[in-house]
Amino acid sequence: MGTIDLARRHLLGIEPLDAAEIHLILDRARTLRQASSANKGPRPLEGTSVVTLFYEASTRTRASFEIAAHKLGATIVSIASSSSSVKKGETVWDTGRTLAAMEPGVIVCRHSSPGAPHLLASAAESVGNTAVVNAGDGAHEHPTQALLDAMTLLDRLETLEGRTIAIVGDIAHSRVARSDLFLLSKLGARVLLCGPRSLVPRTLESLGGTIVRDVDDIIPVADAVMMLRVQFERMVGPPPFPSLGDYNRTYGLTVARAERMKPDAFVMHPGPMNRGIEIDPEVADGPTSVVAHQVRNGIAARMAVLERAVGRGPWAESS
Amino acid sequence: MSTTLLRDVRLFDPGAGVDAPGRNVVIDGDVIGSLDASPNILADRVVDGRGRLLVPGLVDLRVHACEPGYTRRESIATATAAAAAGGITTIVTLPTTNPTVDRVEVVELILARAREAGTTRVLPTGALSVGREGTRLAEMAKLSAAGCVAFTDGDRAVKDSQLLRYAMETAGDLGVPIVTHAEDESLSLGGLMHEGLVSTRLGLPGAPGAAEVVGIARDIAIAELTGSRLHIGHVSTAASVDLLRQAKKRGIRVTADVSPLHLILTDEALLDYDTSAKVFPPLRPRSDVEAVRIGLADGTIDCVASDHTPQIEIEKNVEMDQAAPGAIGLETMLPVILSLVNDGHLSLERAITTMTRTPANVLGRLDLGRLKVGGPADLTLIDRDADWRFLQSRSKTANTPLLGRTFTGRATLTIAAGVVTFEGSK
Repeated sequence: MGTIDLARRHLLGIEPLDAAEIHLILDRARTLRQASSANKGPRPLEGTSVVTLFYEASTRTRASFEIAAHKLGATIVSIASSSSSVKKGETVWDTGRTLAAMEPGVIVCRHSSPGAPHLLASAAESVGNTAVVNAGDGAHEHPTQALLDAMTLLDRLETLEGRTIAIVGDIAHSRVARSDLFLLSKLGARVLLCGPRSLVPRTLESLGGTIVRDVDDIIPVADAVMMLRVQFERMVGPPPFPSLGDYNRTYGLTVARAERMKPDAFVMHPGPMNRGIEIDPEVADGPTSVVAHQVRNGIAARMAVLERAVGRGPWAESS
Repeated sequence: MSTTLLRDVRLFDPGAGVDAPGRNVVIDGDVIGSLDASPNILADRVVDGRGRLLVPGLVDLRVHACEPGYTRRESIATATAAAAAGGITTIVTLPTTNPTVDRVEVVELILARAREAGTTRVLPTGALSVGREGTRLAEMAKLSAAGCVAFTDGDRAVKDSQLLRYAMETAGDLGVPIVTHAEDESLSLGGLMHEGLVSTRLGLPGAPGAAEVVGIARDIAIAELTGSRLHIGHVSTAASVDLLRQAKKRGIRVTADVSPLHLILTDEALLDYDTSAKVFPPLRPRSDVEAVRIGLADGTIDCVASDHTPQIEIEKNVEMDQAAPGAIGLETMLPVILSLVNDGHLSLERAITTMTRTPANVLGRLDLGRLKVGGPADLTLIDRDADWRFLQSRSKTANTPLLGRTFTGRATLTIAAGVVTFEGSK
């Protein structure tokens, strides 16, 4: 097993990482991307298993983690909350202890409740040496998404130092936005946050971004524009804005708005996309969209994270 | 009749202007026989007070004792034992029981359990509405006659303003206060902690302080309309304190309490997703904590109440949205308030008054919370220099962010109705 201690192998969020550690993960992800496309990648997880424990529905993230684990040679154990002991009322704490007692290399966890992976990590630590990777916890963090976003940005921009990245939409309920905000700030980018007051509260500026209310003010200055979906599933009470049409009119990345972007600027979206609401289909599928590239980078970013979680690759030697 | 002599105590009843070192106190049965006796009189039992502070037994206005119905969490017996260890001689229990306290039989059961448990006074509050459902008034006259000292729906705000008005008018006729949990629940819907910088960082849904402020403004308006006595439980925001201050200035009959946790902890206690710090109302930012401290010091907030809320381990060792809110507090109320005195936030006089005379006054119990010859022998001896660590609770549960914390000062002897209910090791 790895030589670095468990607390440093968990990936519960971007916030606790420093820029050097982020660069180490990104460098490794790029190396693995190259090796794996040449089909001669290392299989450092041979003989270990990766458990994907998803309490919340997911298509792309689960598939991406499982393909990454497969490429590294790991055995994959896939657990969905609808078909497991969770249905029988088992707590996260007990599930964590049970799984960790089986000594898998990594547990990848997705949960609707912020902090659930932290609880799982404590449970795992209480019985063994298994690292926990957060695959998205409520509106808190989605660290591997931020890593793949950073890879994508760096593929185009080379550096984030001094670059302007805009995040537009439902930031209050977005774990992607939080992780991106932490990561992009740590790597020196200027992050502009845009959306209605009800979905982009002023307190977000304490995490590192600058709020600009008028989307038309940020479109011409951003090097990249990241559009986010409105996450109605995380809301209770009345809808926070009058209608989807109203929202699209004020904040949607329409064809007309996309035409006002800087010449080399590009459009990102973590998915799932709601076409016609936050983004017009012509923009989503157009030449400025790097959505498919984001998805491809997701595999490599997660390979690096899984390797780190078991303490292999560049993490085998460090202290 | 058995007699006890408490020799060499510093008699301290700030509400009566008493601060007298070197006194000897005699207890005759269940009443105070003398507050200025000779050290050499004959007594069945003699306790050396070593010059320590002797104050009126503490009165705690806000205790979830969980019996009947939730005795996995707490019982009258364990709640009174924990209270005694915290220097408390009177607990006011909330109707957060099952069944709730909306019929006389439940009051009788609580009082019977209290008698079996010992001499700590247990004063039940009755439900304001039947089933605490907020639709029609509970039978307040019958419940009051059976022993209920106030009426409240516990941790539920009374949504229907007309119902609250009628409740206040009825309680006013009976001469008892209404106790509210003030909150606009539509504004706090879904909130798991205070809405602010920390909730933004943690990605947890927040409840804004304004939800409490709206509730308090409404409740005060109804108190003014009816002229009845209103007591607002566990206030926690700066704006709440401002509203109370204005209301008192205008002569509205409103009183309020604050929990010890809201005087010393901020919402940053939740930064590691620590569910023991998930309490109700939520822990607030520094500016609110400072405002409630000032409000308590200047008398805007009348009392400290523990808001003792036991939750068993499996109700806490879960995800934040699943975790039950609340913390135990009977054993740490006095130590926390003494820590505020030690740190210069509160005078010793004010600290003791807020846990003795003022809560007794809220209930109209002018016999409790003060030292008077012929009055109930409810007394607490405090060692202000004792350094100790809170490691084990006498409650059935240990849910508090203060577990493991060190304190300076605690009760070393608690006497309720003339009987020793707690005696420290030293």
